[in-house]
Amino acid sequence: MNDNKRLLYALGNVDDKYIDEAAEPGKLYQETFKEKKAFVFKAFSGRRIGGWVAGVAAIAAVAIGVSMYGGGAKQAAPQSMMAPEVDTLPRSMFYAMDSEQDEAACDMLAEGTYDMTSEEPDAPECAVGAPCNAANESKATLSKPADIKLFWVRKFDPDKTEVGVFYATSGDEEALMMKDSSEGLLYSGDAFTAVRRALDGSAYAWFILPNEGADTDEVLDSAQMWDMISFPSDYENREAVLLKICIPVFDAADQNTKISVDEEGIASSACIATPGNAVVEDYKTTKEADFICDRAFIFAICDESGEVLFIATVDHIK
Amino acid sequence: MEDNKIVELYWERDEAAIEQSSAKYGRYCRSIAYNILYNDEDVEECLNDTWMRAWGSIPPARPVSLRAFLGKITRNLALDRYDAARAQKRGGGEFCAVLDELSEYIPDTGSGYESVEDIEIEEILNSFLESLSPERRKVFMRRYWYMDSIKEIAEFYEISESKVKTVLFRSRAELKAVLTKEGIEV
Repeated sequence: MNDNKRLLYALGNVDDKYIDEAAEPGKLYQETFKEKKAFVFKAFSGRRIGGWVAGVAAIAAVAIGVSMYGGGAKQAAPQSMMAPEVDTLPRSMFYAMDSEQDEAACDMLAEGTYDMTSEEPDAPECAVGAPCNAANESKATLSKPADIKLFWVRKFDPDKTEVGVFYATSGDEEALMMKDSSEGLLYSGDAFTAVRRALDGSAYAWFILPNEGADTDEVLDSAQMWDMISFPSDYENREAVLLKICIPVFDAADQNTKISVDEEGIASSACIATPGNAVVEDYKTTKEADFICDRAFIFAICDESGEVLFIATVDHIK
Repeated sequence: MEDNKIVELYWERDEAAIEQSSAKYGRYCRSIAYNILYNDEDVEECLNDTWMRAWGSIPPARPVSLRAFLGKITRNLALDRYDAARAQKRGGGEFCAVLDELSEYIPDTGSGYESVEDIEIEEILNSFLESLSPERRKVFMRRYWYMDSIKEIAEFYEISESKVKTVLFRSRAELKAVLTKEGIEV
């Protein structure tokens, strides 16, 4: 008997529980993951939104011209979720909160019945060093160009930025590629690699790149990815390396909203992070790793507790 | 009928046990056999042999999971029958594809496991399966135990085919690492 067949015979006698477990069809993923996936997916359902995060993500994804959880070019969102219908939103909307109050407001937003003049719940102050909309201290205006900026703790050197190619799903695009090299953690999962970059404020930006042969949908389907961004300090598949990262400048907008990522940081028309200081740790290592974000990737912003403030698939950058 | 009652019928030497087994698990066992043999005639014979083997095994066996018990019998009989069918150049189905996949990671050395008892390999496999997440384990088992096609697994679990391929790719690599760690040259 050859080796492989012998292995298959041996596999035939594994514990019954594994045979029974695999005999049952149905959804593959754990409930916690399904909930998280549904949380994002609901943003496009137009029926109910699980919380502010989904609403923010949906609006921002539509607004900046990236598709959220779906790949491909711009994806149509339900009319009730389209940014043009929303003149101003409480700044607190851009914080991740799960209170009933937020859910109710989010429902109203989805239904188009949200009263924009209603009293805003206690909104945290804007990030240190990131001026909020001067016109209204308590509200951020979606219809204005980006006027709030979260700076990278470690900025990219503009002199190192080069014109390169972003392999968009719709075809190759010329792009400005920011480059940096520093010690950091390289995260990896079954279908992706990722880096986390600290922002000036208690927020971190994630760049999550599907491995060759995988796509962003698969990564979003991955419980690992959600575990990673939710509990990065507990995530095991990470190693300290000398990271050589290459990330595109992406600047997308619709008629009302603009979000852009560049060498300085992330410009947004609304505050997306609470005050504080993201921690930049030193990692002593000689091992090198490249992280070249030149194809469709997932971009997320999380606060220090791992709450997702924003998540979108970036499959084109123009 | 519940499994424990069917098992009781076997113990009472009541031939209704075979009828009930066939009614409840005939389709299940047929799919296992068909994925290996790809031949209706061979599958039918394999199923008949399965019921007879079960009749001869219970008692003394008292399986906790009758489904897994019958599935194992079917699978092993189908693999045996596969050899005979292959000699006559017929059959194969997903089994050929599965063997090809494994050969990329676990090359056929002709003597690779001669020093390792089968029981030890089973223990390693059980340990390996336990180490996988439930999601990855299910996909792995559907492919290498049930020998489902990639497409069938994707439909079974409502995931993309590329996801299935990715999971299998990683699992095979990890299995190779486990076998290497356990001193099995690959």
